[in-house]
Amino acid sequence: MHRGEVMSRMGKKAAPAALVLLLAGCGPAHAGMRNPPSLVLWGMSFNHATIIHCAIAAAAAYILVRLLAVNLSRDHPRRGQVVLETIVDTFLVLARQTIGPKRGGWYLPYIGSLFLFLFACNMMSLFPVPNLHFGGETFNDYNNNGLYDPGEPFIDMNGDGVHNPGFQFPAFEEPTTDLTLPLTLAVIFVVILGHGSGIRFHGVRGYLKEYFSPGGLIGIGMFPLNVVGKLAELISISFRIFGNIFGGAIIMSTVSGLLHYFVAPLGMYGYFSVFCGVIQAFVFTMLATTYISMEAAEDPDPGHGDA
Amino acid sequence: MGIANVAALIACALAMGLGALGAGLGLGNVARASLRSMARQPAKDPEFFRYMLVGQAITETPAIFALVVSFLLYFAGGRALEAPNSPAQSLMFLSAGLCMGIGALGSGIGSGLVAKEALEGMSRYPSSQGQLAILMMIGQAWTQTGGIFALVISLFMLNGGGFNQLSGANDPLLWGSIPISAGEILGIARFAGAGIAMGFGAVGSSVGIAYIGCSACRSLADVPEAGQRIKSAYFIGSATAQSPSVFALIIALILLIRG
Repeated sequence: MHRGEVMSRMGKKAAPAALVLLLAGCGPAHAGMRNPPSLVLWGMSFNHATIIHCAIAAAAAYILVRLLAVNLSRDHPRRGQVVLETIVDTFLVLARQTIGPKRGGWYLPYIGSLFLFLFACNMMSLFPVPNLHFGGETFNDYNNNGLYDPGEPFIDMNGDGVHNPGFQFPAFEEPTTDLTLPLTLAVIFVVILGHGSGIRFHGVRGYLKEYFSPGGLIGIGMFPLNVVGKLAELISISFRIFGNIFGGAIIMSTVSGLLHYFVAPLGMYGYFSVFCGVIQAFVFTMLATTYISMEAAEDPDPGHGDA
Repeated sequence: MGIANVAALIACALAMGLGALGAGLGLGNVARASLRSMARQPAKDPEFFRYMLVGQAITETPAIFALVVSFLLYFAGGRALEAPNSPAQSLMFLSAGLCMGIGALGSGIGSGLVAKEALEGMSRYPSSQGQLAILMMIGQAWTQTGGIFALVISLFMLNGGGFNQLSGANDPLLWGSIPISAGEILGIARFAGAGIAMGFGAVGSSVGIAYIGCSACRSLADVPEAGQRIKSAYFIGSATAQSPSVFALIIALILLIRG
């Protein structure tokens, strides 16, 4: 397949993929660690900061790719085109090596946009956008962090007994530091894409057979363990990126606090935000590809087997 | 300020101290292998340096997890707690710290071993570099699953998992000469049990998966044509080697949720 063809296919599938990624911010947010939830509906709590940050990151990834793909040329590629082709080639090779030469191309748009989205998410703390507060009543900011914490009472300015928080534009921070986003992405990529393609390629019977994996009486005994093993995949893939990015954010805010916010620790931002952010985004993408390949891998071609 | 605050601060130190141990050993192993590879293939110097950095960044993950738990414990230690003198809450902090600290040990050592083997393989067969780099990252990530389970249990304990469900915390019971209620004794047992189960349960299977990753990297470097079969055997083998730490996770969650 020619590179330009791959890129045009990627562009056609980018819109649904971006929609799926946008939905990722709207999960139950009680697992969030940094911001308190801003809305509780039907037992689920929503965090408007995560949703807004996800939307911004998805838009930024889309715009970045569109900007890099301007004026494509076969003979005289611009610098942006070379960068984009390198990214596409890397993930095409990854998908073909892990999933298979025929099916790999089908998964490329999903894998590629997952990486670009996570990359944009992890880079968000590089842009120093502060908290902006529009309308509503102010609150006693006891710990002076500019955020509303549950312990801080609102000042009821118009005396109607109702706290009107107004709208608060959240300061930029990586949405991956909220567990909701990695967990939702893990559900999308491991459960929907991975197990979905398991059902697609092996049928419902073949898919369910995996849960009784050694077969026979032992297989029936192993069923609960296999189910927990599948759940453990979700836990491990989502907590990995969450813990890494959250840890980096804690380190950087602590060091910035020790420097009294006077000097930006640029080296630490370079390592923990840029370097670790890119690597963790890549590791998440690669693990998602691996989990998909465990369900969807092609049988090795007998013609190219061990000679 | 009470005994629970003291416990939280001690646990903060334990988590970071033990968590740094394994990752430090692993990081040294990665750098050692990359120095040997640079000496063997001087022309590929910058690539080995790059892979060393990538391998070290992933090896550091358990230490970063330990740092997260350590900071959360530090903040908890400085806060006015609801039950500052509760033995159960003190045990909760202590075992959250111990769980993360011990759980990070095996992951740190193991990820270093995988990266070492992959870098040595790259220096012997530079043509299979790209494939080895991907296998190295997958191997390191799977090695760290035990450490991630420990992080999950620690965070669960620190977010009050189970602590609000303590029953009978107020009925007094004379236990030896110490006046302590039944609910408190139950809480102590639950938190200590969950921390011990998950912390020690993570170490063995992390190192075990690292052994599989090591030999997968070595085999892929030696026989690149058998890559697909090596990978599928490796995936199944490490999924099986993972099950002991999954058992530990189940027991820890049962102890925390059901009591």
